[in-house]
Amino acid sequence: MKNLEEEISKTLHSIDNIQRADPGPFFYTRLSAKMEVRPMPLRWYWKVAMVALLAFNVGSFVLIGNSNTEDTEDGLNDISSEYLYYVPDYELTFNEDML
Amino acid sequence: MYLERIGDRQAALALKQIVEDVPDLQYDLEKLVKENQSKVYNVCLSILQNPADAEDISQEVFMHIISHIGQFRNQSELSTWIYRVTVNKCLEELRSRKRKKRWARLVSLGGNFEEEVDVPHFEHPGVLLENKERADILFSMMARLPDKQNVAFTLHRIEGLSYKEISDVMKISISAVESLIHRAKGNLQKSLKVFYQKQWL
Repeated sequence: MKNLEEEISKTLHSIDNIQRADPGPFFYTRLSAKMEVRPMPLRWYWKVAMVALLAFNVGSFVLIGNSNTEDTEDGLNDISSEYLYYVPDYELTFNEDML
Repeated sequence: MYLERIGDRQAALALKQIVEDVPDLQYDLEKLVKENQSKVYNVCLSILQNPADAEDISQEVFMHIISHIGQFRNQSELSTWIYRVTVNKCLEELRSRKRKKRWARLVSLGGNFEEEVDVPHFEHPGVLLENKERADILFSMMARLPDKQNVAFTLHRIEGLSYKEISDVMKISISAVESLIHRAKGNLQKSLKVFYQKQWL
């Protein structure tokens, strides 16, 4: 049992005074090569431009949508006012007959 | 000047950004990499336990640092920030490995997929010769620790960072660091006990 505890302790201390591992000698050269093929990160002004374009598109859709709704609502109002004219007459006739 | 020498527009822009955004940091790109490459690689190697993966992730770390150096505002030390990026990249890699393993298990649909965590043999080149055998066993046990315990233990025991430095790197309190390292030691002791008991039987 004592040997076991001792072995565990030795194992836990086996990384004391460990030296740092170094990457290969051409690490920086490989990094430079990798950076050449890497896509450029998006700069802030491109991000702003994309947001503005998106806002413009959304705004256009909303405006077009609203103008169409008004036209449709006008037409619907005409139809409903026309039908509303007949409905009370019918109801009145119906009620008189029943009486 | 380095910019003309390298003739690389992207590296030039990245370095220009460093100088423009952080005027106090007069780091040349090459100098920045060469001064920090061993610490980044060493953490990556100790956590990922694979030299090829460690080198790939180290390169990812430097690419991230170069493209985001403008966000560094001297609020923390540069080395703390570099350690933080390194640790995050290593954790991402570990998560990606776990996802792949899960997917492989799903694809095998209960076939011959081994449930045991497969930890490949790893030898850290910086271990003293007389400790090699025991250190290999310890590293295989460290790979089985929960990610955060592994990171805290590695930063403390391999990189020699203080609890305060680890708390800055991991953005947790000092008591949380103490707790992580304490639990890591406890878990390592338990798994080493089981390992040696099996071996000695």
